[in-house]
Amino acid sequence: MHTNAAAAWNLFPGTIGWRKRRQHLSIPGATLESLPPERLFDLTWAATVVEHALQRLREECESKGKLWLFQALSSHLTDERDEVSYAKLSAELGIAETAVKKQLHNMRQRYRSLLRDEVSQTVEDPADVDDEIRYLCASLATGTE
Amino acid sequence: MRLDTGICVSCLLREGLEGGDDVSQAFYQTVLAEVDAPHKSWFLGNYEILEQIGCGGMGVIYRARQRHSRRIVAVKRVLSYRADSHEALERFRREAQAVASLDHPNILPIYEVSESEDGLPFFSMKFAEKGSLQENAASLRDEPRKCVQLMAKVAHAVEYAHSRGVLHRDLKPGNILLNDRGEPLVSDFGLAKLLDGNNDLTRSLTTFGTAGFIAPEQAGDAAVDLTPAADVYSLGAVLFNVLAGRPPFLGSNPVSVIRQASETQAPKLRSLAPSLDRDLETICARCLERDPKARYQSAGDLAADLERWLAGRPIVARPVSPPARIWRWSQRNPKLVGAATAGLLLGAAAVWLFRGELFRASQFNPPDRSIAVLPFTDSSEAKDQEYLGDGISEEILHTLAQVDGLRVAGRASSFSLKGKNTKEVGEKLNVGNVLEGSLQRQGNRVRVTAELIDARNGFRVWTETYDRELDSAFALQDEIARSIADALKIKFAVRLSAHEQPGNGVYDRYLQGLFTDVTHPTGVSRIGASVPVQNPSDPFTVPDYTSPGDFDPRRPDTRVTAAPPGTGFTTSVRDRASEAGLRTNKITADVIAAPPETAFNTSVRDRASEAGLRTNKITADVTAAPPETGFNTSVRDRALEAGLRTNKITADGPASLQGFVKDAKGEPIKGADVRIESRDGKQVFSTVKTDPKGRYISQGLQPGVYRVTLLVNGAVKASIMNTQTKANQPTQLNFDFKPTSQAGNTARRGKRMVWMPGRTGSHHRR
Repeated sequence: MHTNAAAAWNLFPGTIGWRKRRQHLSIPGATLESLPPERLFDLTWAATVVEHALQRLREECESKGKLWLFQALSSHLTDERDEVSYAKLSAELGIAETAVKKQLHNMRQRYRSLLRDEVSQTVEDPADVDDEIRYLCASLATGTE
Repeated sequence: MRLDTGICVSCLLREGLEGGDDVSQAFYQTVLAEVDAPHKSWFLGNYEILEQIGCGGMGVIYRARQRHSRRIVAVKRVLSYRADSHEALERFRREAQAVASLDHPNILPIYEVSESEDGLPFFSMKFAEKGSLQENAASLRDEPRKCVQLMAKVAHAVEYAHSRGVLHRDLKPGNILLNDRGEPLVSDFGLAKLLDGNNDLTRSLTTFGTAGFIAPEQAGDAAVDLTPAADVYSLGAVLFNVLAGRPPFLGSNPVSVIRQASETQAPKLRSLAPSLDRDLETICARCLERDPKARYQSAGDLAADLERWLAGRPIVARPVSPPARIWRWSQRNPKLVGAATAGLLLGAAAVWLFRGELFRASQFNPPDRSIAVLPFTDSSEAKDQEYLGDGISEEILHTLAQVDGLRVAGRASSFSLKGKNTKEVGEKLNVGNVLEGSLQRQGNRVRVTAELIDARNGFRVWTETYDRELDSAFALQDEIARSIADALKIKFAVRLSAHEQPGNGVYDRYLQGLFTDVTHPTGVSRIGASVPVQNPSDPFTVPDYTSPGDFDPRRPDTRVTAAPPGTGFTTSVRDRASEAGLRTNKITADVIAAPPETAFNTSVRDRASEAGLRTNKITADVTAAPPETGFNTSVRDRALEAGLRTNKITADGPASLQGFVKDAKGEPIKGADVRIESRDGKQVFSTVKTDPKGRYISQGLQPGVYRVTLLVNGAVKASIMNTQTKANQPTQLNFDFKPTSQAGNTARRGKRMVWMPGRTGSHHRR
């Protein structure tokens, strides 16, 4: 349970309900203060979308009794292929290296599907998903510079 | 920007732009299934998860080991996609706590209700070694007598829960577990309520699990208030199932099963199992009546009939004329006829001789709100903690004595009865409740156990154990006494009828949910935790306060007192809709309280309309009424800061919140719910309804900062953040709806403003 509230920002308390505990954006408070509200909103929006996709992924793993797999691999979702030490993960998890590769690959793909699904719910036309993701990426870039 | 897991948000977003095929959930599950789980321990709170033992409608069940005691328990965890709203989770927590207070040998005990790191609730409960009735059904089928014995116990357990205001709603063989001795343990009490209220039948059915066991009225109109008869139906269906080897109705899908249950009479038990006794068939048929009124009126009645059958006596379900009843009985028990006749005569003589005693006993009818506090006994080996036990008792006594409307027996008379049984204490002091307890010291720790006993029947109403370090005896004494006294106030408040509510804030404290040990249906009602029972004799009827006549000024939570004259100051409300909740129909209001003598113009900056949100603009006027004594406060609560604070108490004394709700035409909205929540919305302190004039008032609040949410017909219309309330003065908060006709469908860059999944509140229709 997160207790050090001062160290983390919950941008919109209450509006995220129970999810808020996980929504800790490591942006210095001063930076947030200086952001215009619209930008701040986009930041939270982006984080929420990502959080939701991750949460769904986590629960899909958990419902199959594979939360341990999620916990071990989710931090490598965005790693480049050569950044991942499959041998280390294999030793940690006690499963074959090939199995680690396969699981991480599929977890990535599934995460992508979930993320796109989350974003598609927020745009009028499903074809806008890519644009929306790019827009949010751009917002993040300018918002946290 | 990174999540607290350290992953960069941008990277996670960009991942969505990478190529690759869509991976469906089904496919991914097969991939997950490929990898075998080596033993990987992980923890949920204090529990080391050992293995998954089930996956129900709401979540996952694990076998787990308690970290320190090594005790093996079952841990049930709700998954958020099963309950995707804050309300549902909140209800889950309340329900679990209500169930945790049920204490019956045939109800699966819940040890702890807690929350995991990600904020999802879970609870730990006894691990039932022999699995469920479903798993044991085949072996039990050949022993109808054993089945009936088992079901009689189950019915007693259900009856007990009903008497505490908890309906099960999902009785089925899978929810009746067996301990190592084969004794039944009913699990999952009231939890089916979690996702109830959703009109989507398919979803309800998944929630309910097996459709064959729920009462027809339960599957129908979601608005129907269920009664214990719904559980009686399910008990009958379970009995039918264990005896016949299948539920009463079968079908290719849940909907067809429900339809059959609603439209046709249940098949006769003996048409499936001809060897069974006709009386069992009658008992099942009585439970499975489509009309709830035609069933046994209580689970206790069913239990009694099952026990009659076990004892070879005529059952009640099939009315038998009295002479025939005697004839049948005498046929079965020829030797007893003579003895019974003699017994009757003796009995009559005894009644006559001891009529005085009997009459006195029946006269023991103490006031419900009365209590005696016995000195807490010292069960330490050294027996050197008597002073602490006495001190705690005296402190509790002192605290309770200050509660209006609660009769507390005096110290001397109570303490003189130390060691007597509770019934005797109750009778001697004419009190309905007796609080007793014990304490035990081990090293520098002390464990205090308190029990509230209903003096009329000797049943334990409430119990709590406190484990504390013995640093300062006085502080400990104070703290425990206060905890117990507060919990008891809640208990008493729960058990009082609305008309008897003392206006001392005790009841309001209950409303605030400071203690959520809600064993009453008020905690599970569709209106919410705050609705008291108006008719204690029928705790399952939740009153509807929407009609004008229902507005009862005696009810603390609906009482409307006129706001103090407008000598107060006007505040400035800056609407940060675009910051905090544009897409979620949420309005964040910064409330700036100013010194009373200063007059401000109301300034409402509505960014929602700027951004083109297609919704009603909400004007929040927050006016603090003039304080009794002058103050000079300038509080500026920014929405951004809100997350860093908890509800803070600014001063002693109760605060209150009041105002009106008006629609776009300026007409009052009656029957709307105004919910007073913690700032993060995770805790609901009170829900009050607006009266026919659209007014509401919530009294007895702790002074502090709240989030106030308005719900009209169950839909969230507005949430006002950071509403500051102050001690001993009412705060005015009005909801005035004005449509913004110019608001368009599109906002920035043609993006459709929609509901953000998982956030609380409701979104407007497309």
